[in-house]
Order: sequence, then structure tokens, then C-alpha cells
Amino acid sequence: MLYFVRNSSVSSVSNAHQTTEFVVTTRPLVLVPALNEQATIAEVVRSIRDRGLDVVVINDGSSDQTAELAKNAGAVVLNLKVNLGVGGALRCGFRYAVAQGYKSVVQIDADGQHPVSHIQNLIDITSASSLHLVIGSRFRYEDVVMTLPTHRRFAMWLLGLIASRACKTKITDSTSGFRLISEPLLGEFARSFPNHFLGDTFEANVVAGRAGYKVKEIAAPITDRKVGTSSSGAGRSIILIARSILVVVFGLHFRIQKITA
Amino acid sequence: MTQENIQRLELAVGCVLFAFVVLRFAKKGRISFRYTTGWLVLCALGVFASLLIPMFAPVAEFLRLSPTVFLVVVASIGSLLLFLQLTVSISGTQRRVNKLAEENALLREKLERLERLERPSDN
Repeated sequence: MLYFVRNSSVSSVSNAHQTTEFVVTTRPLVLVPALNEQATIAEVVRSIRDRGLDVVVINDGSSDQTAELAKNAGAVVLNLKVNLGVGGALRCGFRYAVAQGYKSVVQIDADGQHPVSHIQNLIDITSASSLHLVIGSRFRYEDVVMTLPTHRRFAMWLLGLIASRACKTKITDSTSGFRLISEPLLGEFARSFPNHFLGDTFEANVVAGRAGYKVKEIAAPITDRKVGTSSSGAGRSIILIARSILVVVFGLHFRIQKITA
Repeated sequence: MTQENIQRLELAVGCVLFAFVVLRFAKKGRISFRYTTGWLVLCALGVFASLLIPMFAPVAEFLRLSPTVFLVVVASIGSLLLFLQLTVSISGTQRRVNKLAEENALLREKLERLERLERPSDN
């Protein structure tokens, strides 16, 4: 089996995929879980590819042209035949990344809300501080917090408080879908990762922190959704947030191997 | 007819009606054979127990319940245990479906990659 390291050009990345099954790379793989995102997916994939990064779109049972558009734009597409939710899609992506030899992944939303230019910030801070999980927070910009309804602000504050305690660092956006996850946490998440609401974000952050992995949060701006609306309604969100908090408070969350010093 | 006999009859009829619903679901293929037989056995037990209610009288009396109420309590506890078992079963099935969907997606991607390798002229 052939092992080699690649760092730079897009063409060598493409060739690498076509000539070997296992590639060790220091560049992260960008994972984009997508459900019916045909309006934005091609643009998101192209902007990631333009930065010389490999991108995998996990098509979470879309009924539109998401998969085809992502593939044509240059992404590797993992087609889930049934909808597993963001957590299930991400776990599939983690497994792919580990199998392909990537040492880190960046998770980004398919709706184009996260500026792709900020991926480099996640990479830089991870390299500089040997972190396992770097979360891009929209709430580090104070004006964004002010636009949220009161009940949501309270929920975000409470989730942040619990996550901060677990991660031993200030977390303001524990539900952020813009993160960098590196080994050995990546391998642990590939083995065990929840797919219920907030399991893939808040709960995963808490679990990583409790297992001793190094977590940090940095500012990352977020733009308005270009197309479509958020999938969760207010009433349902409150119930699911309460459930997630209970899961974490009572330690009913999924387990990963604790990091060894 | 005494009050107790009416209650026994109601319980037995309820179980028979439930058995008909189960059979209807089974005929439409919405319940697998395994679960159909399970539910039918439970219905039969319900009918049997409702007919033999006087046999439970000593235990019911000890618990300060009427025999019919005792039977309903036992049935309720049994139902709760059954729901719990079904929840465990559903959770396991869900995990297996997730795993299967993931494996399918990963294998498809691998297959497509290998197919591309076999056709270098397409690249």
C-alpha cells in the first residue's frame, strides 16, 4: 500500500484520489453534510476546491440535485440512501476521512452561511496550538447575539455555559456547524457519534471536553441563509434543547476514549 | 349478570377486538410474523385471564384490589415492559440502519473510484 504526504496543489490532490486508496495528508478534509441544498452546494464546493482543499459532500438522502451538482463541482459525494440527520452524515464523513488517511476534518454547512475564507483560521489555530477541536463561533461578534430572540439567546447562553464547563474554555456557540476536528478525536468520532438533534454539536463538544481533548473557540462570522429556512421550529427546539441538557447533566451522552497524555 | 361478569366479558371482547386489529395489520404486511404471533398470544392470554378472573381473587384481595382491577394493573405493567422491549428493539434497528446506510455510501464511493481507475481514458 502506498503512503505519501500532500500539502499544496489541487491537481496533485485530484491525482492522489485516483491513484491510491490510502493517503496521509496534513491538509484537512472538508466535510459538507447536505440535505436538499441544490441552490447553494455547487458554489460552496467550488469555493472550497478553489482553496486547494479536498471536499466531501455527504448527501443525506436529498430528493433534489444536490449530489449531482456537488459531484460536478468537484466534490467526492457520499450518498446516504436514507436520511440519518447531520450527526449520521458526519459520522459517515469521519469514517471516510479516517479510512483515507486524513488527520483532520473541517465541518461546514452546505447553505453557504459560513465564509469559506475562514477555514484557514481554523487550520492556523489548530496547527499553532495542537488543538483537537476548534469551534467557529458566530457569537464572538456581539451584534449577532443581539439579533436572536430572547428565548434562543437564553438557550444558547445555557448551552454555552455547560459546554464551557466541560471544555474548560469559554464556548459561546456550542451549536456551531463550523468546526475543525483533528486526530485522535477524529478517530473517536468516527467510531461513535450521535445523530440526534444537538448530539452532533453541543453534546459532541461536551463529550470531547470531558474526555480531556483540547478545545478552543474562535470568532467566525456567519451570513444569512442564502436559500431556505432553518429546519427546527421554536417549540420543538426548546423541548430538544431541554432534552440535550438533561442528557449531558445526567451523563447519558455517548462515550469516547479519554485522551492519554 | 353481575358487575364482575360484565367486566370479565368486556375484557375478553376487548382482547378479541385487539386480536382482529393485529390480524388486519398482519394481512396488510405492516407487522412481521414474529410480532403478529407475539401479540396474538398476548390477546389469547388476555381472554383466558378474563375468564379465570376468580382465580386471582386471593392475590387481588391481598393487594386490596378487585380481581378485575388487579388484572388491568398486571396488563398495564406487562404493556409497559413490552413497550420498553420494543423501544430497545427499535433503537437497535435504528443503529443497524444507520450503519448500513453509512456502509452503503462508503462502498458506493469506493466502487465509483475503482471504476474511474479502470477507465483512465475518462479522466
